[in-house]
Formats: sequence, C-alpha cells, structure tokens
Amino acid sequence: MSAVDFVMGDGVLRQAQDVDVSARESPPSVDFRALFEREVSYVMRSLRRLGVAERDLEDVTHEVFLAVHRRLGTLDASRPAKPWLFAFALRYASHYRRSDRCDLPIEHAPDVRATEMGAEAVLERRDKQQLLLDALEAIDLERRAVFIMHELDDVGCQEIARSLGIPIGTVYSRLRLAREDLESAVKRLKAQRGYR
Amino acid sequence: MNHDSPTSSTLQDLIHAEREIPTLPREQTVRMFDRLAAQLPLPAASTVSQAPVESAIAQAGLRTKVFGLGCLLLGGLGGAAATRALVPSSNSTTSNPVVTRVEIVIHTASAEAVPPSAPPEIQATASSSNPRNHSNPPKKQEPPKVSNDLKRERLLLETARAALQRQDSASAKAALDEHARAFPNGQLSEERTILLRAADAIRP
Repeated sequence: MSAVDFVMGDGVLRQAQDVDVSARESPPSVDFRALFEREVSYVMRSLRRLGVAERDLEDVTHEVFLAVHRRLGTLDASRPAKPWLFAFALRYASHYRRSDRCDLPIEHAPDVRATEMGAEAVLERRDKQQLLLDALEAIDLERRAVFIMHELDDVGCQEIARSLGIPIGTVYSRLRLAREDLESAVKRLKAQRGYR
Repeated sequence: MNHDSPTSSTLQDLIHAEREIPTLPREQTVRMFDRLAAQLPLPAASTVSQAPVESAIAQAGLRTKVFGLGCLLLGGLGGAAATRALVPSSNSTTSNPVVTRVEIVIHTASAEAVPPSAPPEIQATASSSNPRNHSNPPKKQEPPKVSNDLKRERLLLETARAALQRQDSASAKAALDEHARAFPNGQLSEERTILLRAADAIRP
C-alpha cells in the first residue's frame, strides 16, 4: 500500500478525518527517530511550500509525524522516504488550508543563515523565496504538489506518480500546467511589486 | 513558450533561491521530537542523542556549529558517563524523562518535562537502541551516490531546458544525448524523452 492510497484516494484530496490513520499496518522496520531527524526539515519545508503559515509549521509538522508514526509499517524501506512523506504533508496541508488557521497571511521563513551572508544578499534571497511562495499560492494545490516534488525536491516523474497514486501522464500534465501557471503568476507579481 | 513549457530563467532563479533554505537547528529538532515523544511510545531525543546527531550530520548536512556539537557528543562514545554529562548541559532544551537512564532523568527533571508513564514499549525501545548508539552508527538509508546521480541527471535536463528556452535545439539535444549516454535508464529518462520531442519540434 502506498501512502497515496489513503492520502489522495481516487485523486481527490479527502478530509483528514475521513481516513482512519490510527491503525499501524505492520511492525515498522524503520527507525522512526532517525527518520524524523533526517526528514523533519524536509517536511517543514514542504508544508511551507504547500501553504502552511510559518506560525503553524511546527504544529502541522507535529501532526504529520504523528500520522507517519502510525503508518510507519507501510513505508517501503527500499524506496526513498521523501516522496512518501510528501504525500502526508500534502494531505495535512490540504486539510490545513480548509481550516480557520490559514486565514492570516503567510510570512517569511526565518533565515538562520542570515549572519553568514551579507544583508543585501539575504534580503534578495528572501524576496525571491517570498515571490516564489506567493506565486505558488496562486496555483492549484495538486499542480503545485507535483511542481514542488519535481522542481524543488528532484523527485522523478515516475516516483511522483507512484507516491501520489496518479498516472504518469497526469504528472506530466500537472507539471506543464504548473510551470505555465507559475510563470504567469511570477510575471504578474513582479509587475505589481515593481520588480524588474 | 513551447508545448513542453521549459522553466524560464526567472523561475529557475527563484527555484534556486528556494532550494537554499537551511535545515532546522539541532535544538529545534530535539524540541520537536521531544514533543512527539510525549505522545508516542518513544524515548525523548534529548535523552539519547549520539546516533541521531551523527545521522543528521551525515545526511542533512548540518552546519559547522552543529557539527561541532555532534563531534563533542560523539567524542564521548568511549565513556558513557562523560557523554551523559555533556548532553543535558549543551543540547537539551526539553526532555521526556521516559528513559531507562536514571542519570539523565535527574539532570533534566527541572526542564519543561512531560510527566511520563513508561509503558513496556518505551522501555524496550530505549534499551534496544542504547547498544547500537554506543557501537555501530546507523545505516544510511539513501546512499549519496543516488542523490548525486539524480543531481547530475537534473543538471543535464536543466541545461537542455534552458537551451530549449533559447530555441537552441542543438545544445538541448547535446545535453539530452549526454543524459541518455550517462543515464540510459535514469530516474528522469521519461522527462528526457519529452524534452527530446520538444527539441525535435524546434525548426533549425
């Protein structure tokens, strides 16, 4: 069973409470703590890119890993963990976006490397990161998920299809549309903000 | 924009900036894991930290500051008592006293502790993980080679995409040919095929 079987089902994101994630599938062969330590940054990054506000990132990440722990027995240790985890993040981000919590605007992520860079470079990078986040907000969540996995996480299209439980053609289609949507959104936002 | 919608240089620039987001500070990771450990049958991260520190450094590429802390902790592997003394003073912010080591429970009792009840599962997990922490480092689940290959694959396809954006089919095909030679069955071979079709569609 892939993560997708309960994450996306027939291709439509379902409400989190629709699916019982309380049952452990089988005794996990993966060290949960090692998985957490290795991938918590990735999960938080993914949630942020999927529209979870900075102030809620820790809480939603916590919820994701509670579910991951329950489903640890379904993780195929021979396959990369990131796409499997991303499916959890997508589901919880989707649920989050339907909740009251995401009414407030999304703010900058704190940049803990700021002291290692010049202030100008930090600000420039933050502007770019925020521009991309804002542009991502403008596109459909399913397209956005495919774009994030492929363009930002280097996940191959086959693996995306497997993780999200969608046909490979749908992956290509969503990727193409996401790029088009994103290009338009970036142009529009840059014009609005007076960027060159 | 052609039918394959290669990523523009503007978008690539934004993607590059977004990829530079750093990993979480070690302290935050420990705090978050401790919060989970309060709800799950797990030992708290701040009480048994040697192996995860090494794993996190090797696989997540934590920065020098954290690496230094990891070395400090790993340096104590030969003497468990010394390590136990270091962990709470340097790295613990919160803790879950659901552990089998009495020494640590005493040290962290004044932190923001979560009242524990230690079910048998916790005891088993903690005790079974300790010998491994002091002798064998955990296996890496994702060998670096895979990641490097994927990066190389991606780089070649990005080169091809950029060439397509300039309507330069010759350069795009050269990059795609190189990808086909180096990674005939690579993870991004499907995308290579699509980009090749896009390159073929460009008239010289």
